[in-house]
Amino acid sequence: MLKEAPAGTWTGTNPRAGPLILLVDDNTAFIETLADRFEARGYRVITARDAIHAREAVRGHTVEVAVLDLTLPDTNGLELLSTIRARSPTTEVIILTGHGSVATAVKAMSRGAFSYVEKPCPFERLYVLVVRALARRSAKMEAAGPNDTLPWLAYEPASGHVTTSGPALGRLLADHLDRFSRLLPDPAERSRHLSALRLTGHAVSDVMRPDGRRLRVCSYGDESGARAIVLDVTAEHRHHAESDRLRRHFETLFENLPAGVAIINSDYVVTRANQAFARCYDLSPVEAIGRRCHDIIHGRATPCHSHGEVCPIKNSLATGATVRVLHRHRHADGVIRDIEATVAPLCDDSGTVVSFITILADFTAVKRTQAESEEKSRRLEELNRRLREQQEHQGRLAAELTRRNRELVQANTAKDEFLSTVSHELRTPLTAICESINLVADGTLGAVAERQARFLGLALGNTRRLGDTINNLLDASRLKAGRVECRPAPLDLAELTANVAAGFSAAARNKGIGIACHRAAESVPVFADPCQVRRAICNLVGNAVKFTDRGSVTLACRLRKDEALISVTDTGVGIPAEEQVKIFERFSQGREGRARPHGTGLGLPLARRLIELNGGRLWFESTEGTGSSFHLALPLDSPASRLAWLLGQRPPAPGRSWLLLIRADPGTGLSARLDDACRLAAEPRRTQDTPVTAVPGCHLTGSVSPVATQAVPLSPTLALLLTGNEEAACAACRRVREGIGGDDSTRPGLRLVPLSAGTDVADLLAALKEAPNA
Amino acid sequence: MPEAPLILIADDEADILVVTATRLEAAGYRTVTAADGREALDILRHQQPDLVLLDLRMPKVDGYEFCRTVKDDPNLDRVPVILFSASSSRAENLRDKCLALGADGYISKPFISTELLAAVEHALARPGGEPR
Repeated sequence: MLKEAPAGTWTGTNPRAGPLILLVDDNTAFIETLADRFEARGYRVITARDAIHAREAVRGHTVEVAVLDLTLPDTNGLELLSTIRARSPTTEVIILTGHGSVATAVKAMSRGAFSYVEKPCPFERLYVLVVRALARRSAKMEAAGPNDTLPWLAYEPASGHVTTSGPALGRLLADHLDRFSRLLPDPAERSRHLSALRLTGHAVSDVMRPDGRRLRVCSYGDESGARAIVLDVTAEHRHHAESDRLRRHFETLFENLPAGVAIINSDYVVTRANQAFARCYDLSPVEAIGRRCHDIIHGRATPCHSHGEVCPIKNSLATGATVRVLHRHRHADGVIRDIEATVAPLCDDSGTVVSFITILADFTAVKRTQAESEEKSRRLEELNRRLREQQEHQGRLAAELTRRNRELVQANTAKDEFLSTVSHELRTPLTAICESINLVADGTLGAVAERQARFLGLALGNTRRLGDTINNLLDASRLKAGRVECRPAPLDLAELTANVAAGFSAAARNKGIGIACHRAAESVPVFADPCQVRRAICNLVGNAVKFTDRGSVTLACRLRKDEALISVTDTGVGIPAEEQVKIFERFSQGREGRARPHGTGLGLPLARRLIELNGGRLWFESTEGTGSSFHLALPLDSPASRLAWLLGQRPPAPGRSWLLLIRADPGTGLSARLDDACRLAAEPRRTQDTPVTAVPGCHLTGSVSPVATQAVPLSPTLALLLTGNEEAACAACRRVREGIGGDDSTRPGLRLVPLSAGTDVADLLAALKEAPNA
Repeated sequence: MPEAPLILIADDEADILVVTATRLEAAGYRTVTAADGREALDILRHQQPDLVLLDLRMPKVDGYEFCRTVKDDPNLDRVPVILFSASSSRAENLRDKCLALGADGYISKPFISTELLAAVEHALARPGGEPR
């Protein structure tokens, strides 16, 4: 507000407050600073930067004190002094002079100036002069007549008696003052005040009134008599307190700033430094003071600009503005850092730039972070690129894999088709050859001589061998691929055995050995895959005929407990003990170099695998040089074996009671489960169409021992004891209950279902459905 | 004395036709042969054989189609049909398929005469397969 106010006008905030002073100087910044300080102390101030404005001010106002610079743009100070003295005789004038202008000042004094002061001068000195000038003015005014404007008093320093006082004082104090001690109640301060007056002719004391105001008592005179003016300096005091507070805040801020801050003068000398600044260079703030910035920061004897670098101080001095530069600074730890230096000019009271506040911000970490972040994003980019490459590579691999897979599938299909074609093309002529020889050999087409018949027999036997070899090879390849499914059907094993034996009769006759088939029972019903069982038996008989040169091959089919048993016994070469362990291995066929017929070595492994697929067993005993017996056991066609098939399990061991455990899961009623089984059982042809798969929730165990029962991973809802042995049923029942465990409330329903060989599986399942828990 | 049963044999392999026919005739049956399925259907409609022996793989009309045609025709569906095939790749599947098609028997090649005669006898003994 001050700066914008036109010269020669009021700038004080309260026109009626304190004494009115006029400041005249052509240095605007200087007089504005002065005006600030006077106003802070309760004065009213008019500023003027030339004589014209000064004269106007004097004309329009009762200026009490004028402070004039002697050098003005439009006239010299002496002339202006004369003008002021002429126009306003009561105005006291104080002259400001430059260095070495004392003579002029003395001349001014002779023309009526109150005093002079040499520039630059401390404000306080000027202030005291102003106060004294005011006091002299008030004395003169008093002498000239009553003065109402200034609160003044006259007193006797020795007695402390107040002789007279102006009416303004009464207004200021709201009291009539008779003793000086009432103005300065503190004896120590009063004593100091009076002794200063005695020694110097003037004294100033501040006093706090009971109402909180602060008054300044300015006395002048001597021991015989003194005058004092009293000024209200409450605002000044408040201003001082505020300044103090601000200064303390600034000090705290300065010392504690994390950034290094220093005040450096125009000669590059550090005049103040905070902790952060000093720490950077391993100094204490005191140690930094007095050294030059280029010495501390760069370790150089001369300023930065002499090294061709930017010196922010020089630039700021030149422009008068704040300068910000990025510098590389070497710190005490030896690390070179990127520092942003902000340099702002600081002016003295006259507005001259005298020093610079320098703020150092460390950008090293920021720059490093920036560099690291760039490096990271570069690496990320690289990773991304590699990932993309890998994905593309994998995509190509996947495509390649898909292509190869397709090729493999095609190759497999082609192989299947090839095998099918080859087998068709081999079998068709074989059939024609076989039947042609048969028609001749059995005499259908006319009598055959014995010698002819022998050779026809040879041809027939070898043709059949060829057929068997083809079949074995194809079967082995299908077994290896796991593509053989078992499709059980009711089958009379006795009839099948007789048929096979009849089929080999010609071959046996040709070798000069006998072949016989003993049927112990009229019919031996099994539930097995007819093709597979036939192939297995053919392989056993074919082997027997092949390895027997004298004696005979005997087939026997009989019932043993719940099993069908077929034995193929020969009087052939037998199997050496050391080879017995591996005859069921694929392509194993005795040791080489032995004089014995050759084959693919597939027959026995294939036979065993096929029989096992049908829930049976194949084993043998053999003595080298005496002969071999191969035995084949299949479960009889019984409810147990059919149930086992339906449930996708192996038929239980024959001759034992067995247990069917069924768990009814939520959503899968026991009834529905058994319905499926019934339907399968009732339609044997459908059974053959449908691959045997495990029925979840059902388990058939061939043993009712507690251990076996507990091993079943099932919490059954219904347990069915199926037994053909009625006498043992009660004991079995008890064992099952023990095995399943639990008390009466949690024990599953246990039903005893008597079985016989003739029990129809469909009827059985229907009966199961009516179980209470179903 | 009733006439011997007439057996229709259909196969595109002429050699098979000759040996099969010779065997069946030696066993006392009358035979008639066809080189493909269509010819076999013709003969079936006009000569009313008592049994059909049919190769699965034949030109023009194969064994499956023959079976389906016979099954769909109420005048023909009582004639027993025995299928035979030299295809081994899925012998079990073929058997099931044939039986599912309503065939009365299945023989895989190479067959032996005893098997053939047993299957023929069995099929002719079937109630629906009696000579008309």
